[in-house]
Amino acid sequence: MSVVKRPEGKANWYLPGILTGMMITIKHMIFNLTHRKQMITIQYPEERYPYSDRFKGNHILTVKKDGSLRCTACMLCATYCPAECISITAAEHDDPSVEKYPISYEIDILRCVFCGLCEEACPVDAIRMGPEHQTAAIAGENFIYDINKLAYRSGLKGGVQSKVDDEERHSRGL
Amino acid sequence: MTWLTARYEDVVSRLEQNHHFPWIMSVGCCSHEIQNSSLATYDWQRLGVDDVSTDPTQSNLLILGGWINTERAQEIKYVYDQMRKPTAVIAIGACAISGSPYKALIDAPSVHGEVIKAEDIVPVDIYVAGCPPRPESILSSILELQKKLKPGPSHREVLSEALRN
Repeated sequence: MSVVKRPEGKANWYLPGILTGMMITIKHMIFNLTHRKQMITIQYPEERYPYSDRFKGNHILTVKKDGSLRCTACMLCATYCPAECISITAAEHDDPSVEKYPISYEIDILRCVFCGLCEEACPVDAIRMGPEHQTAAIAGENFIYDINKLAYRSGLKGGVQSKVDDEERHSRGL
Repeated sequence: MTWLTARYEDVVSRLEQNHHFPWIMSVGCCSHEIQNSSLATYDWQRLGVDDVSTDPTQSNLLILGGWINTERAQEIKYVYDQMRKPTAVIAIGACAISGSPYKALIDAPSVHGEVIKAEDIVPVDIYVAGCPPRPESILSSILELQKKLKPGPSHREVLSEALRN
């Protein structure tokens, strides 16, 4: 049986050991109190983490200059969606220069996997993945986002316009 | 002087409005986000979620995430029945909510198993959409849960408005 001989004398005092261990904690506490901007904790509801431009958040339907939807109801996003969460109802437009437009554009946000394939499939830059993080909501609320929520919600300030112009697109034959 | 005649249950329910003991049953990438939201950067102890307990009978917040197959469904039901009442349930991610990343298994259950929605097993209070959701979404789900337990403006909102004015 091996017996460990503990050193006698000063090392028997436990209080210095505790204080030495607490020094690390106290040092971090004082550093955090005096250097608030270098603190790594993000105080979430007050301050937000800055996302990159490529962040895939809640969807945005872009609008034209007159405020109507840019979407032409070509169903490419609904066909390409791996989760099958997009449902579009198309209709004929009164204006003869516009072929089709969506009466209803609904995304079931509980099925969506935020992969961004709808954004890649769209030929007219009508749907984008926005900069907001995914939402949490109480069960029983409306989880099927319609056009009002996707294109004209209050965070977008009346809709996001695409930089690609329609006339330029037609002249290039796209 | 109403606190003198308050019942024990009232006191406990008032204390539990802003204090949750989580029990995490999660697999896959959602569990990484749950761990992230409990660590230093997105510290969910600021919002009143305590450390992970070692016993489900002491917990009152069940956090579900990831693909739920038949075996996990039995485990989740078994754990949920043991947990302290009232139990709040948060379902995180598209797998647990609707199983849409494995929708081929929803349409035709095969030898690889089948996918069960969380709402078919336990009553879910808060849904967090995303695949996986950001830690901010998980923190906001806890704020939504506290709003559901105690309607009206929270202490945090009252304090931030008072500081603004």
